Amino acid sequence: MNKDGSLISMSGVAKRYEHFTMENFNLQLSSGEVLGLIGPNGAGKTTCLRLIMGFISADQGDIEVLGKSVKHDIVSIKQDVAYVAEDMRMFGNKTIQWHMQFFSSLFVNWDQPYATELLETFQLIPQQQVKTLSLGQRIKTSLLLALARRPRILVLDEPSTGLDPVARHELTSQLFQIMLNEDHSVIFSSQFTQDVERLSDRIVFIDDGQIISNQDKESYLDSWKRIDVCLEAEKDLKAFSDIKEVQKNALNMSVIHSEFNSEIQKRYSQLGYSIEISKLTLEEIFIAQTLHRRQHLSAKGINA
Amino acid sequence: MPAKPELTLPPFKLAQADARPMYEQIIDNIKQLVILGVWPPGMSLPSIRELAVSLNVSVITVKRAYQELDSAGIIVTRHGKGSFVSEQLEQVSQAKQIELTERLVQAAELAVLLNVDITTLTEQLQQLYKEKVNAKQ
Amino acid sequence: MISMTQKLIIQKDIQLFAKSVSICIASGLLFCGLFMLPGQFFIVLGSILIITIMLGYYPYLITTCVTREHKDKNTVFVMSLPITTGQYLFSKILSCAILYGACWIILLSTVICVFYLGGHLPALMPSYYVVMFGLFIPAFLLTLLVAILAESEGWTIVSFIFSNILVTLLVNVLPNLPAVQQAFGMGNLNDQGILWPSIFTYIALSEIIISVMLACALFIVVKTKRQFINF
Repeated sequence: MNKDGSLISMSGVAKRYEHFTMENFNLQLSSGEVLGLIGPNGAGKTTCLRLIMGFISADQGDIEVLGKSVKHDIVSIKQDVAYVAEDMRMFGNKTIQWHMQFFSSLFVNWDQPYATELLETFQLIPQQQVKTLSLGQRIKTSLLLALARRPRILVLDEPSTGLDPVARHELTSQLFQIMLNEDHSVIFSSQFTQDVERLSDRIVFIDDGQIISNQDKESYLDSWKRIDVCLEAEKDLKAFSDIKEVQKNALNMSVIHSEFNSEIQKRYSQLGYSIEISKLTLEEIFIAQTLHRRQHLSAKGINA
Repeated sequence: MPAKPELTLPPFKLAQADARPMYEQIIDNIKQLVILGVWPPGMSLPSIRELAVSLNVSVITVKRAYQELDSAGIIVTRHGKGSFVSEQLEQVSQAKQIELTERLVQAAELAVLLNVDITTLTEQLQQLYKEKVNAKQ
Repeated sequence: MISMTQKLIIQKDIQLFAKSVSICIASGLLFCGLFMLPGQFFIVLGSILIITIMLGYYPYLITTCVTREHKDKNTVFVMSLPITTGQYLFSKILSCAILYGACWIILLSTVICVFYLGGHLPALMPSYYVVMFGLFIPAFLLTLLVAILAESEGWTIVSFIFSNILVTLLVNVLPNLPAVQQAFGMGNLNDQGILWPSIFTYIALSEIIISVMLACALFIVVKTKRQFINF
């Protein structure tokens, strides 16, 4: 555990590429927490996860995992941290069985009964060569290897990409099982907002290498609301600073607020408008957030 | 590693597509269980993690639901011991009273919508009430 | 010190190449038999075939063992294991060195044994082969260095074409050097025993120096490389 009690702590991290920059990036993962990373393509989710795994080194700042520095102690960190990515390939001409053997001699916490159980759940044939596996089977194999290691931290980069709905459901159920142990944490990125919405305790939204929001899931979902209000209200909308999207139709308009609370609700009624409040799914929040940021940036003359 | 939780839970009605946030749905479900006495006063609630895993929702969601139930006085959380259904019965009966009112409001609304006059409605209610009392005896 | 992860990776590589390295060694041994046959033609033919094996195997070994893993996206998987980038590269270098080293040692020592058995060959042959085999080491190390630095099959191919041309040129120049030609004419093994002309000392020394330099370069790369270009 790190000094501040977190399992992962990134502070003041910078990573610069030709077409992508991450500056002053700060992120913490607590014990027992499931953290979901969302953001558009190229936002820096993979960069963030690879920095944590030490695959790439930070140009600036400190990354500590399980109380150890990623720069100096990566081997012992990786003993307790497992990683799965959609584009990750195991050794093609070796079988699943071989990989399980390989992992069991590498990891002290390897749980053979659990691995066998997962083989069955995921319907994998241990004698099969990895290069003959379908995309879904390959991801399931990577997940099996990662899960049966019983890692303290599970780092998943787009694990459900390429999985059919049933396989995705199986993956989600396995991740729920991990949550039972309050010492174990998960950090994952996914394009499937339903999965993130379902699984995460904390949602971190990244765009252009920056953290746009970092909140516990319930507060985050609660703060975004869609307000249906009559068209006349348009002139008064400048009273609110948190409006991300306004959509008009023939009868009324819907306004998306990102920091909705009772004050805003009161304000509407003071202005004499009756409103209908509805919640947003993470998918809708994701789209509204991203599009609003793009418009905002291009309005400022910065190419988003 | 703990084994899978052998939680025998009464059925919870949860839907991702529901207009209410997930934690509110959990609150409503637990309120129902307490009001109907399925979860009697003093009963120890499942731990946050156990319930989260059983319901396949995140820990934060159950945590939030428990917090709100705690501040509403429906459950009591004792540090390090877990949460229990409140034994302060007036809290629970108050909640039951609120629930009754809510359902009567719904019934009244429906009656108005269906043009059922007040006499018929009262008679119907009396009839139903008698049946239930008889059934209990 | 070699870690468990490194040990297992090397083990896996050696298993993977066990077949190809055995084929190389077996055919090399077979070609050695040609030296037993009378006539200069068979000496030249045997030499050409053995040189072809030695020059043909290391590019295959390095591209398959080192660069292929980048191309096949194995690196992300490997890097998720308890290993540093440097340790991983070191295992790759060791795997290649063990496999190519096995070929080198077995073929060279067999060739020398064959020469002894057939004492009718020129007395220069054993030392000539030592010096010639010495040329393969820097060629191998250079290609390995490029493969590890560039992480690309393309650059690796360029570097082995370059080193192959260089080695082939030197192999052709070597017997035509006046000192070597003179030594070739000094009788056969039965009469003379092994000959070691002083020019060979200079050649061997330069081979050793270049090899040590390349090995140092490899060592520095392993020590300093913190991340891969291609993930």
